[in-house]
Amino acid sequence: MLIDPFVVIAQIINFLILVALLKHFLYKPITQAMLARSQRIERQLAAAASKEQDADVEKGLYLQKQQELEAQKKQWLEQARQEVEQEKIKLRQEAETEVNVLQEQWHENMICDRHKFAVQTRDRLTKQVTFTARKALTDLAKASLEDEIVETFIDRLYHLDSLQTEIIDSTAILDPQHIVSIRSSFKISSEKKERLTTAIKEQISAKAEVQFETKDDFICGIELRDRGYKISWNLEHYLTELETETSKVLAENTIAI
Amino acid sequence: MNLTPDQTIFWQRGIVTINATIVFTWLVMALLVLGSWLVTRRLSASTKISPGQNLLEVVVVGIGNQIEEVSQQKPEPYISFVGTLFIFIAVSNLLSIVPGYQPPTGSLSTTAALAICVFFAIPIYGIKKQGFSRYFKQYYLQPTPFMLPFNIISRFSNTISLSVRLFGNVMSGTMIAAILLSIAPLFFPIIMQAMGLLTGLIQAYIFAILSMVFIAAATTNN
Repeated sequence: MLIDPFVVIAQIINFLILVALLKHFLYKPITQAMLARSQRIERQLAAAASKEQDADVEKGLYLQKQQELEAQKKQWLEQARQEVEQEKIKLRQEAETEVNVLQEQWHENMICDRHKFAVQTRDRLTKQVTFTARKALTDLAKASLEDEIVETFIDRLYHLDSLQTEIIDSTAILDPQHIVSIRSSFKISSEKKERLTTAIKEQISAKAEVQFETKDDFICGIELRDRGYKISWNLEHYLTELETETSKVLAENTIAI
Repeated sequence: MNLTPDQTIFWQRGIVTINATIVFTWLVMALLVLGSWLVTRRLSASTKISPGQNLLEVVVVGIGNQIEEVSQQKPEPYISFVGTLFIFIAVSNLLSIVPGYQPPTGSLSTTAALAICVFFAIPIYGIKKQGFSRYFKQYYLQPTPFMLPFNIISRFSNTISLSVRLFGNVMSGTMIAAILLSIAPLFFPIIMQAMGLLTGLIQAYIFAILSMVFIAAATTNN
């Protein structure tokens, strides 16, 4: 017979035992392990989602801070730009002021130099003219320059114009015994002194006392000095005119520069 | 030549007989339980798992998916029974490649025992899920109470067909291999043995799926 009842029953029991054993050793542990893994993965996913959410919040905060920093940076840049602009204006003003000061200083120096140059020119010219005139007079007329100056001055005293005469007269009335001072850049000889004294007494005042002085800083010439007026003849007039012309030319050139 | 392993008797006293069917069944049981114990004693819940655990998870998940697909229900209540049917039949058939081994499923007593288990599992699961009256009405009095005798015959015939189908396929495979071994011992037995492995696996699948279909029919409302 193909079916053995004992074997059938035994196999049923065997199968039921196998079901129980496999349930205990296979299905239950494997199912629990898979469930545990699934729960673990779910927890990890939840944690990841939570971290992602935190990261989103952090990202938002970061972006906000970045925007704030950007705004602050713009503000700082604007502030710096304004400060730089103000500093620029201030430095420009200081530079302009400094330039103006330097320009004025330079201008003053230039005027001073120009004046010195004019004075030096005049002095040199005086010396040269004096020397030349003296030499020419000596060579040509066997005459002394100083004597000729005194002579010319005496001649001038005898040919005073009306205005000078009027001034002299009024001064003499006020103080008839006054001192007349004769200043010259050279020593006057005794003869010329006498002639000068004579001319003064005749033309200005008979009671006048004449004093002679020699001045080193005096330009070649002679001068009569009374209280209220003076009569002079020297190279200063010509040289002053030359100095004026020179200064004028220099001033024109300076303006051109 | 023995038609079934029942005929290979190792020990007998009265009706108590220890034959090849029972012995090889114990062998398969021991193999399955020992293998499961060895793998599941150190299970990992992390993503790094051993190859054995991976294999068992694939088998369990695959069985569960098939049950869910067939029954449209959660597989947990049925996986122990149906899964054990599939694994026992499949391993019993696959081990036929081992020389000297006789598959227990080649015994009509074994297939009948399994079919009887299914025969009783169907009402147990049905009544557990739906209650006795509802199960009885749906399963035996449909479409009309006059069909009750035919329904009862149908249930029995299902059981008989399950057992005979499995027995016939396994026994025929063994017989064909034995016959070919005597006729053409060099080449054809290997091909037939390989075919036998495939057939054995398919038969395990068919037995388990049909069992699940019968159980699902008893546990669903419609």
